[in-house]
Amino acid sequence: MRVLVVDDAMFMRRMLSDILEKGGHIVCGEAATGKEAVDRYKELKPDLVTMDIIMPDMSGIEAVKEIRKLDGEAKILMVSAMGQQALVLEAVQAGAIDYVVKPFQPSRVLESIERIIEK
Amino acid sequence: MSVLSKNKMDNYLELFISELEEYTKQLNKQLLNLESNNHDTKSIIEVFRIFHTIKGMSQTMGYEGLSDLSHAIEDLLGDAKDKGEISPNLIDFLFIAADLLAKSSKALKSRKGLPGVGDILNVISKIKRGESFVYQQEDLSSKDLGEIRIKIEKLDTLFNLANELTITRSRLVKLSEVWDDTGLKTLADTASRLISSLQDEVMRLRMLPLKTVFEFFPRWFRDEAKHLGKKVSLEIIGGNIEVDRSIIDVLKEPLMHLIRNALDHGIEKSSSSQKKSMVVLKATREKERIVISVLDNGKGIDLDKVRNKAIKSGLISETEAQHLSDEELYQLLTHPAFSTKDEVTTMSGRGIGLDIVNSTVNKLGGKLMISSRLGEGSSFTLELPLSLAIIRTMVFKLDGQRFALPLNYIQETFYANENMFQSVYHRELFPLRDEILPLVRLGDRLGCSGKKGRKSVIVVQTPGKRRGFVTDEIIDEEEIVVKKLDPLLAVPVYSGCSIYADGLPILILDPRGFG
Repeated sequence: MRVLVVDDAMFMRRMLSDILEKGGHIVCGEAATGKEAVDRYKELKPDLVTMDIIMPDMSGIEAVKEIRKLDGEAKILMVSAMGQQALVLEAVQAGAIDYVVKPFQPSRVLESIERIIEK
Repeated sequence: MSVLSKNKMDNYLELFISELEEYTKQLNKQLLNLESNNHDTKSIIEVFRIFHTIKGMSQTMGYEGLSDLSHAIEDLLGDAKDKGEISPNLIDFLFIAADLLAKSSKALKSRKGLPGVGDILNVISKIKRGESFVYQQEDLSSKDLGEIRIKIEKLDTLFNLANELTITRSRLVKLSEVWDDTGLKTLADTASRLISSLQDEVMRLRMLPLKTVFEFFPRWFRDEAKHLGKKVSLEIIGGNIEVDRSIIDVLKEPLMHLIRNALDHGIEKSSSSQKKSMVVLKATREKERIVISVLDNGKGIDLDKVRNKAIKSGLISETEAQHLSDEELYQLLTHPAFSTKDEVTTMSGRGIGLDIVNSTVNKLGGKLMISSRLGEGSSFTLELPLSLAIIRTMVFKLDGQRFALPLNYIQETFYANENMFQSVYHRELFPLRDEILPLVRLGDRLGCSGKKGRKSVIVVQTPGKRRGFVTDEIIDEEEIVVKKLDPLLAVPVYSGCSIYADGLPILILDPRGFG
């Protein structure tokens, strides 16, 4: 699967990318803000997006909405820190398929992705 | 608890540290911004986001303390986020939290344990309960962070003592040379080295980054530009350069003058061309000097107008005007005659307060340099020492007595026999190359006779004046520690005094005091 990793912290992007690559996926791009995520989505047409929520420019939720507008089939996995449950819910309503909470277990991330693929 | 194996975690540690450092930097920047405008919603959200991100990262790394702290602060900021306003007290507190983050990255870098967060979390719960939070800095910092806050006055006392020691050092070294005792010499060398390090350390304690002044400008600039109805941006470069507090304290006013001038007179209201109007405030460090420039890409200075105005106001004659270089013409702008607002605004468009800027900078032992290109923009550059406490001087002798002259006024020196001096209307002059240099007999002015015959002349430049100071003998260039002169002794020709290496006092001349 070609995955676009979106998170404002390079640290988190690196970690997610490593986990994804070890799970046999290809990280086709990264984005640090919501806006960037939308732009990169248009450009890369990834199979899946992992999306942080709190980011500069445009929040992850807005980005989910924008991406879903572009592509009603877009598969988005929310990856957010604890304490943002309400926002996660909002994201799911906006079209995100699943979510994992930081600090995440690598296996949990990969499992979520498997589930999304199966859908 | 960490979610990845230790081995994997180590791979991420470096990245974590550098990110934490970056976020701490951003946090400080946002907090400084909020200090000047605590309604800046964007900054409040940024601060919130920074802590949120740090929380996520810390959780992943298994740093519970840091993640608890970030989480608690995130919580604390909820109110501020909703209201779009953050209290000054909370900003103060967040600065402490920022310090703790900085400490944390340092600790991680040296593979030490993270500082505890217990005390700071207690403060947070107090703040939450609405209790007044007089957090004991010592508790937060000295116990947990190995840091304390010191009153400026105490630092000044320490600084003075260290300076006294440097004087003692010079005497000790001189004495060890005279006595020629190996044991004493070794001791003097060691003491000398230790005292140098001590002084360096104390000097460093007094250093502050320029951003302590610079952070004031963005908001102020925005308001001023808006007031003048001009679309212009301000760029600030070099805020991290550290200079002595004494310089920081006096920098704001002159910079305000210069930036306001650039805005008011440099930048045009609506530029017909495509260029984006901007003002740049830029600092660079060059050896022991600090160079701060205010640049604009506005209309520049019309030298013809400057020349005409200078002639009209009787500052220079028409013939003189023909011979002045561009540089000298720009320098005329610092003359008080150029600093009357109404006239200058319609005239050259420059000059407001430039005399004040110039004299402030001179007092600090620096200089103001102006350059400009008509239609392209202007630059006003301040060159300043990093510290006021130690200055570079030229030490000379007059009638057996020693005096020091700050090096920043000195352009050159030469030997000359007295019989080469020419007298014109009771004034002594010296033909130096193609220039007639007016001489100042320091002996006459300072009340000492001075020897006859061969003299050492120091060419001194003060605003608008270049003169030769006649001395008996130049001894050396010397870095000296400036001490204030007792008010009873304070006369305009002296700017201070110091203790020379042999323990005797030495007076520091102020060339501007010689009229």
